[in-house]
Amino acid sequence: MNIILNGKLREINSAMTLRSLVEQFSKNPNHVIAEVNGNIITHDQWPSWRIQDGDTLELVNFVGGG
Amino acid sequence: MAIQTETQDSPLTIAGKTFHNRFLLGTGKFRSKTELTESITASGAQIVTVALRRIDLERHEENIIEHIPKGVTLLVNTSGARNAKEALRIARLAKASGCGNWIKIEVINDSKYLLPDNYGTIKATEMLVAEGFIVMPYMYPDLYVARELVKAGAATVMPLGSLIGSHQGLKAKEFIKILINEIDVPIVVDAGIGRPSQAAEAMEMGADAVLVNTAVAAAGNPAQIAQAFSLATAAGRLAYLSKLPAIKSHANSSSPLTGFLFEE
Repeated sequence: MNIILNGKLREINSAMTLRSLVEQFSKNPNHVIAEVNGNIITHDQWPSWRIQDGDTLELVNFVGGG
Repeated sequence: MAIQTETQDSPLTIAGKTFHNRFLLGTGKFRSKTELTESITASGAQIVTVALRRIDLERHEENIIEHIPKGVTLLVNTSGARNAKEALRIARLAKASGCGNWIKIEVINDSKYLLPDNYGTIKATEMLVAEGFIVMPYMYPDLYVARELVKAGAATVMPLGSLIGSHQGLKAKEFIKILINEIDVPIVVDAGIGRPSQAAEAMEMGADAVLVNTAVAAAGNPAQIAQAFSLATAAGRLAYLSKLPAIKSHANSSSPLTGFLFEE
């Protein structure tokens, strides 16, 4: 199925949870913040949160800034 | 030579939290995370700014939070926000990270000068304060805007010294002075400070704190210049508390003008 991840179209496994998706892309999942279709999904919801076809996801973290 | 730095100064208080170091450090543009950590430590900065960005899906980047010493207050900026709504979205994401609720509002539309949109900043301040954030807005030094920010509940006002990353120093000095005189929340001079002497200048005229990023990160020895900035900030503060005499247009002898050897 297809999702928009950080602004780009991506094909992912249909049985994926938010937790497994974040783990695939981040070494530090604990520091990642996830937004699905404009709503922030807290870490405790990740293991059971099923990604849906057509979802728009934003995965963000802290970087250096002034 | 050790310098005696004990003073009767009261700490900087922002939203009920006290700080003994009035030098704030931005964490952008450092060549390495090691240089960043060393600069925070060398300066003794108690507040550092960070930004929020999409994670790099191709590279597993290290997280910056791990390189900031424990106990340092994180101030998340809303860089990238072009309006109040976008600033609010960034602030909410930052809060969800569990790293606190201190937000430096940056609402910027112009990519050449990176000047803050004062009106969007007022709106963003109102929205974020209503959601319980501690709000420190970055602004162009305008008295009316500063008053509106305070009315909206800003914890500090952060006027720019000059353009971000320009190292031009206090181009807006006279207008910052007006804010120092008229605004009751702490004034933190942000942006454009490129030399420790400029940080000292801001503090001498009564600013409550300064924030520096590029001038430290881009220096040959970031930790050393970070320490220099911190010392200059403290020196400027001491000078301000000492009530400097006024500048005069003519000479005023420091030695007595009587009892000269050659008097007849």
